[in-house]
Amino acid sequence: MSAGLHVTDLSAGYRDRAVIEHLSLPPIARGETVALLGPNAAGKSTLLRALAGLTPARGSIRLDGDELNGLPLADRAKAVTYMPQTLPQGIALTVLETVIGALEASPTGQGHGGDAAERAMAVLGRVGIEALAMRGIDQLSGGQRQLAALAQALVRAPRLLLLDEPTSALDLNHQVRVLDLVRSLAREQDMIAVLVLHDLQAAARIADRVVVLSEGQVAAAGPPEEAITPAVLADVWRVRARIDHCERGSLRMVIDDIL
Amino acid sequence: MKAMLDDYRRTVRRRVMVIVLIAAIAVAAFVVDLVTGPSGMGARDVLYGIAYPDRITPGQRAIIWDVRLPYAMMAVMVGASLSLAGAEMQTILDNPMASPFTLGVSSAASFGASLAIVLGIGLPFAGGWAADWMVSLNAFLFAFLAMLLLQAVARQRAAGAQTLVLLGIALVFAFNALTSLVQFLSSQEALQQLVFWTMGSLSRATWSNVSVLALVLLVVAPFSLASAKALTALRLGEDRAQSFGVDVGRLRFLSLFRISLLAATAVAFVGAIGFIGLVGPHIARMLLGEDHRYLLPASLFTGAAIMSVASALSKLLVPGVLMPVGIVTAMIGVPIFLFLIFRSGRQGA
Repeated sequence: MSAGLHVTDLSAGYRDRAVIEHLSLPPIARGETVALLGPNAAGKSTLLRALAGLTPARGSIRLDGDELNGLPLADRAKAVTYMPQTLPQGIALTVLETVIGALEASPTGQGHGGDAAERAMAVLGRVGIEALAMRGIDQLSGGQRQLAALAQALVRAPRLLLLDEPTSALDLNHQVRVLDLVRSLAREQDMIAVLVLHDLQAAARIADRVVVLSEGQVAAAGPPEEAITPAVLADVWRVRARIDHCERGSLRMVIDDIL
Repeated sequence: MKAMLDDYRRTVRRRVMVIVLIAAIAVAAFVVDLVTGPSGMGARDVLYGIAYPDRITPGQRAIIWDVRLPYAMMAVMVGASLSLAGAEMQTILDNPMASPFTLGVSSAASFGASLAIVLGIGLPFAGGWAADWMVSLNAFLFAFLAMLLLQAVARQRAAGAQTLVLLGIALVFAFNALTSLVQFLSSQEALQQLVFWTMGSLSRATWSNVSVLALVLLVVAPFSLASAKALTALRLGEDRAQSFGVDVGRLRFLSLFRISLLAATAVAFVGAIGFIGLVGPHIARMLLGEDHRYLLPASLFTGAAIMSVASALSKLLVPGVLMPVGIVTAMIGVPIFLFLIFRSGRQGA
């Protein structure tokens, strides 16, 4: 089986109601950044949680040839890390302690090489908040907290990183910073990053590929310039829009009307 | 990076020192508790009597070996057990107000005790040795039953921390109402005994029940410590912890089981002593943060220290009268607690 992420015939949802049914994604290669787009209740978060193993699912999720679906959490956590929207408030831990905590919560896929504190510091350096290591996590700004959360996820050296609306609470500068960092880390560490995003321009900017979901099905998939089109916007989001794909990663969108 | 790592390592060393310090305070408080009492024996007499039990009068021996030592040991064990249980409980329920009291464990124990005291309802084999233990056994049984009920709820995958806390509150009200009912129906004499029980007192301490509680603590504490890393990860949120490989359902289940054993056993022997389970972990957290490798042992020693101080004070406050320790616990715990809250508030931490 080839490297990368292969999702086929996946169904997931609540006990009484399936949110996604028999969903398959185009194969995703290592190092790629993929944005999951779609209106509210399209199944983006359910798909992400199913990939993370947080929501029970039927079907196949193969990562580098290994079936993830049905693996115990501890084994799955060696390959996959999930980052929820926000960190809870009121935690009496330093930034460094949270990263060490993430690393030591269970064994990681990569052998535990070297000292946990050193590894955690190195990751904090990579996301650019080394100087905040000994600060209480509750004293950070929203953007800094999200970078700390990213460090917690990265320190486990996942092969698949799942992020649920990582930038929803951030200012513009931090949005760009977090997203660009995720993309360069994915390439650098040969990791697959799958993000749920609402901002189409942000998705176009960082994603190698986007997957547009609508009512639990894939409505469009491909490079941003192919998948984000006026037709898709009309069909999925019910808006009339004009879109210019200026150059790679840059998208100009004018919304005219609601359909 | 080097500077930060050095800073972190200094912090770790400082934390270990703080734990050692709290443990030392607990030992000191235990000794003070031991040498305090209405018999007029000084510290030297007591320590001499412990070192050379056969060189003192039988009366002194009885006071030291049958009263002072088991009481003081019970204070240490109860403080340590309730505080450790509270620390775990606050984390698994993600609620700083959680303690063995909040979840109805103590209320259930009080109800069980009230049935035994007032109505003489107990286990069917309550004859012989079991008769002496009936109140405690009944209290334990009901406390444990309350926890089993919570367990059953916790096992439902969908039930989160919020549901558990709400159910715990419901249990508190239910058992309190039932206890009131029993009180309403009871005789004057039984009522007095029951009120005394609910106040919480070390006066029922014997070597045998001290040993039982010590054994429970000795067996449970290592498992608590072994879960420290998973508990720390849980502080970062349930989903995140799961994605870091922590089986949160299992962690919560086993943790509740440990809490049940500790809290039910402690409450069964000394009655309803509140506050330690709430304040012990809070003080430890303010001093050391929430890395559970440090928080759990610190909570254990903090609880032991507070309880020993409370026990000593309960003998000193009104000369010649041994006040129920449950009353004193809150009296000394609240000021310490408020001091720490306001101090950390000023630091902006």
